[in-house]
Amino acid sequence: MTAEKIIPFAIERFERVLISYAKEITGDIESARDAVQETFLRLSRQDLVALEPRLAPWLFCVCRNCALDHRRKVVRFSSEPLDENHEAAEDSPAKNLMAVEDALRLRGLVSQLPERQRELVNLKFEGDLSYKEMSEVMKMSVSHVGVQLHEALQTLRRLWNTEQKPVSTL
Amino acid sequence: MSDTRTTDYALGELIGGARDEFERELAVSDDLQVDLTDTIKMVSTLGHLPPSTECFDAKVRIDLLRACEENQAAFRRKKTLIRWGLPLGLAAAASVAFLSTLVYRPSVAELVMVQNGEAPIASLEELQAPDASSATNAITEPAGDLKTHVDPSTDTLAKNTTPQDIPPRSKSKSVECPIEHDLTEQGLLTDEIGSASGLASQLEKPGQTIPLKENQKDIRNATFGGRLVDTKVQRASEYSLDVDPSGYARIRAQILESELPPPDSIHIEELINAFTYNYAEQAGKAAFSTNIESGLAPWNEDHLLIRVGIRAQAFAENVKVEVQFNPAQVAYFRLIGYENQRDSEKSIRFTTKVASPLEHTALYEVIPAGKSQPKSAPKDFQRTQAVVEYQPVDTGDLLTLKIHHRPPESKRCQLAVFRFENGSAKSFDKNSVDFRFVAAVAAFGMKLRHSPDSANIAWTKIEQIALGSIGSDSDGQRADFAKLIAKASRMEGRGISKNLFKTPFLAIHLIP
Repeated sequence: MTAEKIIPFAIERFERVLISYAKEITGDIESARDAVQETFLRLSRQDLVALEPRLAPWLFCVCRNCALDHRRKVVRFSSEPLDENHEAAEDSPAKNLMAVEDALRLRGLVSQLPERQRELVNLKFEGDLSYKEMSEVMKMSVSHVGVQLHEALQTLRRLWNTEQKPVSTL
Repeated sequence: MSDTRTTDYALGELIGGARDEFERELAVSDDLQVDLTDTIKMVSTLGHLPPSTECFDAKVRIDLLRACEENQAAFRRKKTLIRWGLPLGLAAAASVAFLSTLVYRPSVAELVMVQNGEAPIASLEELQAPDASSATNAITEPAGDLKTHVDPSTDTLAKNTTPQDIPPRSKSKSVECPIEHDLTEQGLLTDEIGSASGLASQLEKPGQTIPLKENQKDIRNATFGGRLVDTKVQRASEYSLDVDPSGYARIRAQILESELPPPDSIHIEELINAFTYNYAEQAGKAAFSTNIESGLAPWNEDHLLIRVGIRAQAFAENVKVEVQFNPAQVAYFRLIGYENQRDSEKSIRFTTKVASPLEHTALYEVIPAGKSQPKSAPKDFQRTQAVVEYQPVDTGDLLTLKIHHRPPESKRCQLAVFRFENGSAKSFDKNSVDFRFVAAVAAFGMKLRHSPDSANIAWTKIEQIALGSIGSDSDGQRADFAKLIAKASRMEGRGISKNLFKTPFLAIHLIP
């Protein structure tokens, strides 16, 4: 891809994904949009041709830093994510999603994951990043990425099956 | 805890021998197969989640894309310059130095400048070039008619001028717009000749040498915002139409959180352009219209404040705005804001793309000719004193505004020229509502930047001007700004006392 095409491509391909990812970190949409704007502006000051092979992890990594910066600046009042050993609670928000489509329900379940796992799920399934790329973004080892992602999937399966009507079982 | 390899396998991350091993175990283990099947289902469901719907507003996306493209263009120019410009520049410098040892004799003026420790801007001969070649004459005979009328709604000099884009006079004299090249110097000089509003007549005489115009030297020595410039030395000023639209919101948020923004973070041009002004629409298909108004500067009644409002219609590229002051009317000028737009931005300024209707406002503070010199001349100003003076031809204009631009699908630059006559400035109160408001915005920014010029105007006066120029204010932005002034002024007051106590000496002696 020529340098001129990389930025329009990056915005089209990653705008929504990055906003969604940043929102997981900042907790509010406006800060998330700001973080993503900053990410693209930083991208525009890079050597795009050299960066292209690593475009996705670079974007997520910078977006993560920008979003964390935003989060540091504001006091959050949102509920804390579950800790690592959390079991599905009786009044889990996912209960309220029973009536909507499975996809939306699953999103609700993802939002209950511990923060790091939630990020990894986003990076994998929205950003389509490899373990190695995720390890660069999250600054953790490749094997730890695998372990965390595995735990995330296990938790999602458990939550899903716990609250699932016997229509479709994973 | 189930086997982590199921996830690795389902995601295609298990490779080589580990993968073969896993598949052998999988073949003989029902539990592992169930585990893997469930994992794959979950992976598949997650992989098919509908994409998030949260995105940017369309306008934000367009602005972002534009800003990104400009940043990237600047990056590439810089890279090209480093790769080719530096070696070529050194080679050229070496050649020139060698040749000049054979033929060059420095003029007296240059020797003076060299003694003062600066590079000569141009030779004495160039500065004393015949008046016929000066830009002053070029300005008095712009191609195309300029329709000008005095704004009847005010007593002052507000006027809307309707330009006619001035095409090159003939093919042979037009020059293609440089697009990818560094436009800072060479491109502009070419452009200046190619745009040919005044110089075209000289080009028609074959074989004639065209003396360097004094404003071409200005361009090489282009100034940026914030500092006072002597028009005897430099009469042209340039600025970018690109202004970060979020600057004011950032400053506002900080002040509302009771935090005074650092002086250097205040970009007055961003504050000015955060507000909308009631500029007249363009007439017909003109790409640009302007709304220029002058009045007394509220912080110094000996100085004039000039507002240059530009409305750009639909699409243009390579937009460059240049204001030329008439030295017979203007002794010194200062572009308000743009202090931070120095070297790093230099190459971006000329390639602005106007992709949507755009309104831009710039402010100049001007010391009219005949007024006393500034008491404390800034360093930059003192340094340029060694340059030889020339006699300008007085056209009666205060300034000429030139907008170089390239219409879409065209390879040639066009030039729109607007003249603004000098007139006797009345009291500040007689200026238009928009003019008074923008003056308050500038003064507010100057106060926050701790600009020495703002010492003559009190916070209460700025607030009073803002409150008196709110106008229709349909979105409540101006009223909100007036409140912000009040808050900032209270904080400035507190800030001073707090800082006093931070001084160790005072802390020891004043706090028991």
